[in-house]
Amino acid sequence: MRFLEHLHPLVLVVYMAGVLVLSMLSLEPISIALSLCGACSFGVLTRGWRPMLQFVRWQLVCVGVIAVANFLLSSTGSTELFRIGMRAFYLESLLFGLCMGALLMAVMVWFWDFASLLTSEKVETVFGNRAPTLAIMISMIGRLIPQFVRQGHEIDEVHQACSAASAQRSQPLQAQFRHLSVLAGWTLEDSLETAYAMKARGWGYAPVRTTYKRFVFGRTDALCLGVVVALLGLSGVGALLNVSSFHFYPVMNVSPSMWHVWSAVLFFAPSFVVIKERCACNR
Amino acid sequence: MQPIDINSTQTKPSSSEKYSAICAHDLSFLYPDGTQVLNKLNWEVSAGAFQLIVGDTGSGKSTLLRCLQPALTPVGTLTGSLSVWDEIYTDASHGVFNPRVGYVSQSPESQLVCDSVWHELAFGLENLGTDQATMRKRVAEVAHFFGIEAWFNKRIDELSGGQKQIVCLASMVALRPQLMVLDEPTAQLDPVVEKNFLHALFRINRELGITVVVATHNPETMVDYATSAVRLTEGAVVPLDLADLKAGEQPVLSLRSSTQNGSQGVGALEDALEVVSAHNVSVRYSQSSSLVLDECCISVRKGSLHALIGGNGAGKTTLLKTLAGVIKPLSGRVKNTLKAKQAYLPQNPKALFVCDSVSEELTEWQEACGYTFDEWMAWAKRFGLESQLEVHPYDLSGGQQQQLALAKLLLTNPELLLLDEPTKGLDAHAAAVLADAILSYAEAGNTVVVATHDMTFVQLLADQVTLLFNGQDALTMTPQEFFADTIFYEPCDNAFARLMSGGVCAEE
Repeated sequence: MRFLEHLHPLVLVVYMAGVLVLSMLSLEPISIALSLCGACSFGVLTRGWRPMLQFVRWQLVCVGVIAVANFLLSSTGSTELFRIGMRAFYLESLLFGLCMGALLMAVMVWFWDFASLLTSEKVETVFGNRAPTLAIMISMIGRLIPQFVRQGHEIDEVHQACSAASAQRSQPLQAQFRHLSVLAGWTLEDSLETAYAMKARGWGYAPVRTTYKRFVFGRTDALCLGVVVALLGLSGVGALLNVSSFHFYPVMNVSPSMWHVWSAVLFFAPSFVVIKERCACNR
Repeated sequence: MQPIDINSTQTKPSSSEKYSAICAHDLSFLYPDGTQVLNKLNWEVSAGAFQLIVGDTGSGKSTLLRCLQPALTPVGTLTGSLSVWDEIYTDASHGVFNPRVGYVSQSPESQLVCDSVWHELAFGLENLGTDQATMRKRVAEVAHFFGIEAWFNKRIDELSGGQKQIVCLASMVALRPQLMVLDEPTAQLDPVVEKNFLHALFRINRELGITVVVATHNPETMVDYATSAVRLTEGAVVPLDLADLKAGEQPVLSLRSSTQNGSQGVGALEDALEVVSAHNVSVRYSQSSSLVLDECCISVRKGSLHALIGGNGAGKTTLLKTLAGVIKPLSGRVKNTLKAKQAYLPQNPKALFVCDSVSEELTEWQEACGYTFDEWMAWAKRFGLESQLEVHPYDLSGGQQQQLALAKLLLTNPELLLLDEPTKGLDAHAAAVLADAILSYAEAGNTVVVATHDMTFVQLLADQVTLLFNGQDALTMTPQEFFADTIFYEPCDNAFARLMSGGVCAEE
């Protein structure tokens, strides 16, 4: 994990974007299975079994719903399983639904995996130079939301504690609106002071704002980025070839190829890095 | 430690040279509504000084300080001459940021802009368009100087109030100002944290050679660090002798009638009915956080003024809210026989203000509680608010906001009053007026529980003290017993104590 945490965010963003796009483009059982397994193994390694199972629980239900829905609604394929009246139900449409569900799940799990790794400030680092104002906005929002919540709680508690003024409990909805207006007033008042504090630190002084870079793009980062881009390229070409030769209907033709190896390397690379790090620590 | 180069582009004045940081001649300031706050003021601050500015609320301290940083100068007419480090301020400089002047205000909460400490430290440098290498150097330098490294990666929300104020100061110092202007910087801090902050301020003054100008209404704590002091009165600056600002040597005596009657009074209190109590109460805010209150016990007698003291994070506010019944304890029993007739004054009175004017605020609960016009006008008069009835509560000074909030609560005729830091951030006069109202309310036989850092307030008004430490009630005794043997928790013979003992408020 340490290695991945200290990697330049650009590498992580490219990897994550690449993996997501690749997973979504290759609607083909082997690639989807590889992507899903890669995402799950990384999740288990970084967050543990229990949280992983808790997260996946609802995803599995979702996969089931998609598979059943497709099975019931789309009557295409060649391997007939059973027939109700005039309507036939085929294995291929069930598998297609399962693959769609699994693909959705893989994408969700990848997002979940990277949520802890790609913090808002890392995203800022990547986009900060392009849009410095956007970067500072993200940072300010990140501070304001918890402040709102805290002040909202405070207002509720204070008004609840003033029981001698018994009028307020009679109309809870009206009281809520009042509290909201108190919060709005308070926040606006605070924001004036924040605006002064920004001016006091030279907001708008220089024509071009710079961004403090916490991460330096070093040689390791360049190497990693190179590897990621190369793997993405190879897997991308493979995905194009595999998907063009693959079809669900009328008969599914699953055929592993050399290209799948590149995808496997790509999808399991983060897990491999974590395992290698753990081994080095244990030794 | 070697003093760091103050500013790479500007030369630091050598200390032997007599050089003024601020020079004002016949300076006047007129607000657009016709209020004249500064009147032909002459003022000079020498380079390297640590100057205190004292003055009553509304004497124009903030206006004067804001004029020193043109980016913050309020809208109005500034006449006369003002120069800071030989830079003469003209109409053209109005609104233009002067990087040589740093400015820190009262509330750490609303002064911070970003979500993390490192970003906060870099924020000003980013605004100035500083290049990467310089930015890194300066951020590292100030983080090291102020000992911020340990929490450099933390989110602002995870910091305590004192840490936040240090971050405010550090982020200003990162811009390498030569003059640091602070407006009541420690008003929101507790005494220990205040000392830490003042120490940091002292170090930037003596080690980095930054000239410091601080406006304060609590000069007793700062006087040891200062090199000079002035009073701002009627729009003019009057030099003061530092010795005059020191706390007095007189013992602070209790004002409660129960204690003045000797042990008989205390005994009467012990016999009084227990109206509010907590027994082995534990509280935590979330599953993952640690306990704020850990098996805490307290017993409040009818008619007593019970003070809760202790450091930041000791659980004073949490205990108050638990007694009020708005926080449900994890375990333990809370008994409050006055729960239906209580009022709660929060640390920030803004949480209590719902209306657009002082008069509406005072009459908000009139229908529900049935008080008369004369009653609320009497409170308005007592707190000097009768001329400001149409003013928005937010436009009042901090002291008046607190007084308005207390008046609003006392009008509901509560039998139990819960106060959270009522005198925090108030000048001596405002605090005395407020404390006087609390005293007469308690003397009328009502029960008060107050969480406070103000030991003078405790000594003057309380008849029971509970020291909270580490989430538990470390001890409960009378203030006289408690202060008989303490080295740090001590009442101070300050302006507030003198006002209260002298009965100045009673005369008004």
